[in-house]
Amino acid sequence: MKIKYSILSRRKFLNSLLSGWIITFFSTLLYPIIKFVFPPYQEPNEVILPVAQFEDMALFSAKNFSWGNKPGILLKKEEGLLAFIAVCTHFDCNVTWLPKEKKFFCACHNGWYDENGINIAGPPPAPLKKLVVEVKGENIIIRKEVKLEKI
Amino acid sequence: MKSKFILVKIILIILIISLPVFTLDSISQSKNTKNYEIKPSPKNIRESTALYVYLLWIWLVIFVLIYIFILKIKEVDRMYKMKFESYKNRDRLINTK
Amino acid sequence: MRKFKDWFYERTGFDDFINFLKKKNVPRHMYTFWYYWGGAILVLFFIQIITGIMLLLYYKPTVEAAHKSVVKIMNEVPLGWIIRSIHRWSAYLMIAFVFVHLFSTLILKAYRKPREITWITGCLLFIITLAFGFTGYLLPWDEVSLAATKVGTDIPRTIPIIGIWITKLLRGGEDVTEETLTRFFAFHVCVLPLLIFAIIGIHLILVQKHGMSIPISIEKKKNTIPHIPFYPNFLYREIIFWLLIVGIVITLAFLFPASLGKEADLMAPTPKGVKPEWYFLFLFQTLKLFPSKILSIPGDTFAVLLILIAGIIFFFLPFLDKKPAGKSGKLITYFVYLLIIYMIVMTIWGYVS
Repeated sequence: MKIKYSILSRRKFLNSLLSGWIITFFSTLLYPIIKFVFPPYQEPNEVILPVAQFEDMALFSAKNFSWGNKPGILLKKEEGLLAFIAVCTHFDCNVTWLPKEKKFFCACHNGWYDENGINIAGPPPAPLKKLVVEVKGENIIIRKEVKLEKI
Repeated sequence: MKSKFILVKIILIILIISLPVFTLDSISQSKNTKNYEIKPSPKNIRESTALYVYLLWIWLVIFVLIYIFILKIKEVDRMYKMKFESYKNRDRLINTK
Repeated sequence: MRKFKDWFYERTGFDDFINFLKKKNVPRHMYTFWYYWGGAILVLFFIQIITGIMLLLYYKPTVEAAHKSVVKIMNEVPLGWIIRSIHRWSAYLMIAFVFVHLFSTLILKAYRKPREITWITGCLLFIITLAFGFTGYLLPWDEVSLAATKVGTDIPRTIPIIGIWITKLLRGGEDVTEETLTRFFAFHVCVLPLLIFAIIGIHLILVQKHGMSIPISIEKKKNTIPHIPFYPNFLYREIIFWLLIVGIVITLAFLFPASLGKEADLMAPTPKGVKPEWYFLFLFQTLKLFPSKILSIPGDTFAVLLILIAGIIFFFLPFLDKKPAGKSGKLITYFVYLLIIYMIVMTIWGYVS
């Protein structure tokens, strides 16, 4: 079927072809560069700590541990140990436990969290991220909180 | 934007560009199993297939680009020979004297 | 697209540059092939900058962390080993191309008037490129590179009077220590790049100003030589060459990746069979040829001084080669051929022994 008008002139066709393939070439080269520049970071699934380090904690005191690249905090309460990721949900500053007030405090913008990690005062928009603690013999196993769905 | 069938041209160009990029993306999902020997012997363990595919793809793109550039060179040389508009004022010979 | 071009040109005056490129003409003759190598070196240098910056994102230049960070780049960072291999192979090819470019301009006598300064800047660029190779080689901080650096920085010491100061400048002290690593890192990443940018700028501006040099034999034959415009005719041909080079670099990097030796220990004995990189082998082998004492001068000093004198002659060749077209000119060309054969033989000998 011969059409009256050509869709593209030969020159435009060649130029578009060239531009298209040049873009392909550079995106092929760009792909490993992007992969290199953004290394993958995996949050740990679980962290195992020796019980010995945390045996002599007073009630309502806290100790730090490392959760991958972030700081974690273990709080001793009457019912046992609670673990949180000690990073403020506002802007990533590290929070600290103040035993006198029995609250977590973020020094950056005066954010306060209560003993269950729930944000009570200041700018933080959400509670501290909670982690599941399990004491198995010689080890404390700290895991990510997994939400169970109703079947 | 006065030319006709502008939509068709845009779709053509997008097709030409996107097909190779998407095929590459799906290949990249396969595992990269490059291992490194750091000890005195300089041998490396063989890479997985994905790397060979990437290499072949790069060479394919290079050869296609070279072909298109050869066509472009022929076009531009032709234009120069017949003293086309943009070449009007250029001398064709250098005088070394 | 046209509207954007007009907007841009009105504000930047970029079209003046494009018009200059359009006016610039490249002569076409038997030796036009050698015009491509300069641009090829630029492409490889560009690849070096990009891969170098990427490696710089993860490299840590202290004695404790250098080797470990390179191990991390090769093992943990995604595709790190590819970037490192590309950096190494592109470096090797860049140095090889610099040799080719140097000898082609030498044999074709492109250093004749008025291109003497272009030649001198070119010689400086040659030395800077080798310096890049030398400083970069130490950075992974493995056994072989430490040994090679110890030997390499010791050689200037043989020059009387100023030699010791050159060695101290390179090493950051009497011996190779952590200061040497920091110093080499500073040279490789900051000092040498700034220097090379400045000198490449001068080199390129001079090449644009004088145009492409036409070899003597072509000049003699015809008084008018056909040529093609640089933009876009010659540029498209150059781009084909560049595409092939990029393909070759990537292929070499994939199939022959760079390896890493054991971590260097400053106190440990030197491992056996230490050799410099291939581009220094001919110098190394030349040094080995000289006996330990000639008359009362130590053989090393003699050799180094001889090499220095040869280097100076090289540098000032445009002023020494007064009649390039005459007999003396032809003699110099034969010497250059001899030099090339000598270098190749010495390199192979150094490699094999």
